[in-house]
Amino acid sequence: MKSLMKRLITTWTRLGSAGGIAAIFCLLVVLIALLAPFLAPLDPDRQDLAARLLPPFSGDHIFGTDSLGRDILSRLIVGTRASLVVAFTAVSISLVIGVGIGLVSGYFGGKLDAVLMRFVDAFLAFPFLLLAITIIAILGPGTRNIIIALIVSEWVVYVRLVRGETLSLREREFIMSARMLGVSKPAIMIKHILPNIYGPILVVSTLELGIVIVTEASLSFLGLGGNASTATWGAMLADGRSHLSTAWWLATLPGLAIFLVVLAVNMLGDALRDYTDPRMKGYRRGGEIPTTEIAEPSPPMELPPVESSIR
Amino acid sequence: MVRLIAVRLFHTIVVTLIVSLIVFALLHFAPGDPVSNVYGEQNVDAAQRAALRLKLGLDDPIWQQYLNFIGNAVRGDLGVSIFQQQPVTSLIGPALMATLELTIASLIVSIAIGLPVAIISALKQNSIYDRAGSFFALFGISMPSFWLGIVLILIMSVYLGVLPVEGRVGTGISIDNITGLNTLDALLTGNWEGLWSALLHLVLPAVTLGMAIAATLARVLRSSLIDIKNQEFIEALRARGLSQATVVRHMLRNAFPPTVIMVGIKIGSLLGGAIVIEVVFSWPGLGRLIVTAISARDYPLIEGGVLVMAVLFVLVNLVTDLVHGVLDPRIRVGTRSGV
Amino acid sequence: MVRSMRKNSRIGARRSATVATAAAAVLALVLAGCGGGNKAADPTSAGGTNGSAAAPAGGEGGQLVVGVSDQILNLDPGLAPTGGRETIAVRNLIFDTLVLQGNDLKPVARLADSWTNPDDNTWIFKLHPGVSFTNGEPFNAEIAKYNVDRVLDPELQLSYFSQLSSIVDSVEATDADTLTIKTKGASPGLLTILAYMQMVPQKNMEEVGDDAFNKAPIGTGPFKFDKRVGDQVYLTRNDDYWGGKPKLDGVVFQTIPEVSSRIAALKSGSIHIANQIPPDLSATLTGNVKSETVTGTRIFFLAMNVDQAPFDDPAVRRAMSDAIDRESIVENLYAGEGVALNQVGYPAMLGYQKDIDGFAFDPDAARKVLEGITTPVVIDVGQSDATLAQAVYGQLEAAGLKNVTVRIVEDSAFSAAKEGGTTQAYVGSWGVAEGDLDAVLIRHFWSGRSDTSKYTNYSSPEMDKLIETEQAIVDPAKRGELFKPIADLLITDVPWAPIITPNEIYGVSTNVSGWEPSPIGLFQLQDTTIAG
Repeated sequence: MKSLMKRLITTWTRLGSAGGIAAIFCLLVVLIALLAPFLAPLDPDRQDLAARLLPPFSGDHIFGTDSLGRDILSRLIVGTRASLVVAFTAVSISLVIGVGIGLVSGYFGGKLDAVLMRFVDAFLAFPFLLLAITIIAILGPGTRNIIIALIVSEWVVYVRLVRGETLSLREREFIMSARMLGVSKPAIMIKHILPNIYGPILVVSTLELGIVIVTEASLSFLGLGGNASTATWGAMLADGRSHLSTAWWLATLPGLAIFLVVLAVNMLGDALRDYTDPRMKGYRRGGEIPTTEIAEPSPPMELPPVESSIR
Repeated sequence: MVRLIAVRLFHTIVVTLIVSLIVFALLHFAPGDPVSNVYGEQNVDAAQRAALRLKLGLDDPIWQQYLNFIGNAVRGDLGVSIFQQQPVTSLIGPALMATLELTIASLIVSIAIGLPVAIISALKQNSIYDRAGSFFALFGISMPSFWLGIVLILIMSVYLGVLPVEGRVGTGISIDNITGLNTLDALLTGNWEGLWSALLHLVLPAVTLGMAIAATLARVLRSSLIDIKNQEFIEALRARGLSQATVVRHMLRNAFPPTVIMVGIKIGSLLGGAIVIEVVFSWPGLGRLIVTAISARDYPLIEGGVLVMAVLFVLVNLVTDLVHGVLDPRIRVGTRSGV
Repeated sequence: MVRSMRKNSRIGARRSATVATAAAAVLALVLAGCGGGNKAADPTSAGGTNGSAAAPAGGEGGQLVVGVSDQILNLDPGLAPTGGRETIAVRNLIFDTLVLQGNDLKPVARLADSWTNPDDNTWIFKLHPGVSFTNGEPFNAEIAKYNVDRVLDPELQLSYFSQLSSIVDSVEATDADTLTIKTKGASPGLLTILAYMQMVPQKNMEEVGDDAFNKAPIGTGPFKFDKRVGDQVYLTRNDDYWGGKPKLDGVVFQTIPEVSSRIAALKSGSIHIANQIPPDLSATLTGNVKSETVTGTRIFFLAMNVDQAPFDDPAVRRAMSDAIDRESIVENLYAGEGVALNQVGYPAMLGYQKDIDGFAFDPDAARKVLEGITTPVVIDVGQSDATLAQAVYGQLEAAGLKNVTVRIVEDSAFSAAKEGGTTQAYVGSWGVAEGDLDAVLIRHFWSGRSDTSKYTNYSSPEMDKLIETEQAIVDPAKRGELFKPIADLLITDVPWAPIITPNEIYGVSTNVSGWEPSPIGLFQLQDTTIAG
């Protein structure tokens, strides 16, 4: 127990105060998502057409009501769960796919790598949102299909990252000697290479989480959110857009929620990066790219794509 | 260098082919029918619908449609939009220029904001300015750009009423088309009213889009500058008593290569990623053109638009790499491109 | 926004689907305060900058700028897609039709001064003498015949081909001013089709061909096509218009898909009229702008698939309808701007039954049935009508229906599902600019329909017989009576639970006079003036 406390304290100091605050905020958001049904003060689905578009602090409605008279605060709380479920699932599945392909591509190299990389390039060159829109059109609406659309566009990020790391690791001595000792290729990849790239993967995943949250919101914003009965931040924001001049709170509040969560996730990602590997500045999608020294092992074209939140 | 370019051009072709295959496959599987969209609620019998389908070649096997498309595309013919009855190229042209104009303006905005922030942060590392700069960068990256756009519209247009939110120029203002970039054309023809109108219309979307890049730019440049600041030759310059401005200039020159790559990749993602901004501001760009085409299943327009976007994306990356190679001879670009 | 072109090409007016447009959607919000005294925001200067005469005193002249939600598609009236009501409105200023649909939706004279039916299968039109196209070509019965023949040409496959060819037997120019159309059978719908068949000049069309004509159309209408710039279409006055010279110098139609931008442009004075204002925002039209409202022609409904559980039971469909509080939807969601529908049809429509009770809100009756339903219910909806669908969903849940969800489906996929008859239930709409119940019946409830759309899979021999009887009569008064049993049957069978016909709301600058909104989205601008 004591050692746990000690570890927590060291973690805190190493994360820095900003990272610590961000971590606590993220924890809070996860708690809200888990406990959403109990935290929502009112039924988020209950409509009252006679009490629509009420401004904040009207009676029970602390954040006011939306265009169907539903309580905005309750919908924001419930929407936290929907947004996080989508984001976590999409990121973890693309992670698994991307790591697998990236390891193989980077380790074996050659023709296989060349072919895989062209596919990765093609997916990168395909305007992401358009890909997502088309996929949702094909598969139909629904949370599951939104997750699939996000995965289709996300997996390449991890392929790029893991491949680049693998390329530089496979020439290192300890891998060479493992190979000499006759360790099987899968074993080398999983037991020797993978553990050495946990850090970058963790950091990138954290940062991708923020991007995925924004992307999901963008899709809902474009009217492709899927299930209209579930509250999501993006759908709330889209609903509020046409009421901007008459009811500003409709669009502003869910937007603020997205912003704060993504901000916290990014801060946490930054702090984690410094924590795990101060040199690991390169794999920030939408963030920094390697300075030339670090770029040495992997030339510029291996860099992960920079897309940030412009989606 | 020549070999590099050849290899990369070959890659571009391969990537473009793959992209066009993906588009075709996706469209083939997506439910929905352009013919049904063309006639909408109009009372048109099955025979006439079939006739249009035949005319559009929609009954051909998918591989044949694909080969036809590729065959024509190679000759520069992307077909005719089913809905607008105009050649796809003549629709994509202006939309592409609109997107480029927005992209360039956003880059200018981002440099204007990002550069000073980065320099101040780097020079006064760990000062209050640096922290403020870092926070600004984080802020810019985390803010969903469509939300920022909405908030800006709310403030600048709805409440203050000082900036327009819609399209590229005002009604009744016509700008002679030379390059397709309205501001440049207005400047070239001395059309001051048009220039003013075009600039005003650019402000909000460019700022919205530029904020996110500014943030990224500030972060990259700051960390490169800090790395360089501590290197020996900078110390040497300082020791020789050169002015701060000169030292900064030297630092910047060395910090540029990584920044250029970042900006290059950024342009690529801007071209495709600004769709939501184009929707929010009714900016008649390529992204919005394709989104509209998708919802109408205007096949030739979707295929052409995505193809152009993909080619651009790959070309921008290529140019970025080349520029980077020129700027920074330490890096032998392409020696390990997996060929 | 991304919305469907679904509702394009409708004969007659339709609710615009606010298609995000491809080319430039531009508007001037160049404000005086910003432009350093630049008066670009002043409507009259919009005309000035375009090179036309500055507004003369006396409130005449000037350039009217209309901001519309949908893109303007083909200007050649024959080409498909016909375009939405905005496109039809623009064409209706460039071209004339033989007859016109008045604001009461009944046909009135235009190029045809009058018409008679010697028998049910013969229509004789007396054309207005001395009309000519703006290029000097005369308009007469020969030209009118050419126009009808052109649509009937199976080679061209023009957009009204199948509709007209299924009706028309022969066309004759009896003399210079008399056109005789013989139909294959009694065809009450002929006039409505003619109201959308714009007359093109034969010689010019044959000389330049469809594509070139589409780029530079020539008609007999009150305004001439000038140019297209991006998303703007410029028209100038036809000084020699046979129906009297219009007062405006010109008209600009400008596509502005986003409604908030349309309103902003209206308020700043850069446009004079904005269409498709949502009811929630009409209250914001104050000061130098006002809202003008007219009864709409689009029916919104909940459609239920009669082949799929639980909607294979008419009692369940009826209960679903009973659960919908239409009055509350009209009063709250639409701010009172609309008509709650107790039957399939709105009051101004031929076939509307004043004397029946029809559908009404009955939560108790609904609850008895809906509470017993365990089958999951999925209501599909397109992107544009999601809010209405969610309101319906809320009312269904309140009436005890469990396990119900609303899915927002991408527009084209939604159309495909509807037309394939695979949706379990959907909230949708159908435009009935024809003002005639028959227009709904033949597409949704008649087994003999000409396309392959399935929608609710509703099929009833009894209904088919009633529809075929009604179609064989030309006289509107007689047909009106024949619609009564049809309306009753639709209330018994409930393939649709009709909900609302919303009003059409326009935003208009207060200095515009001599203009009134049309229920079908046309623009009659002959007497329109802009006060200087």
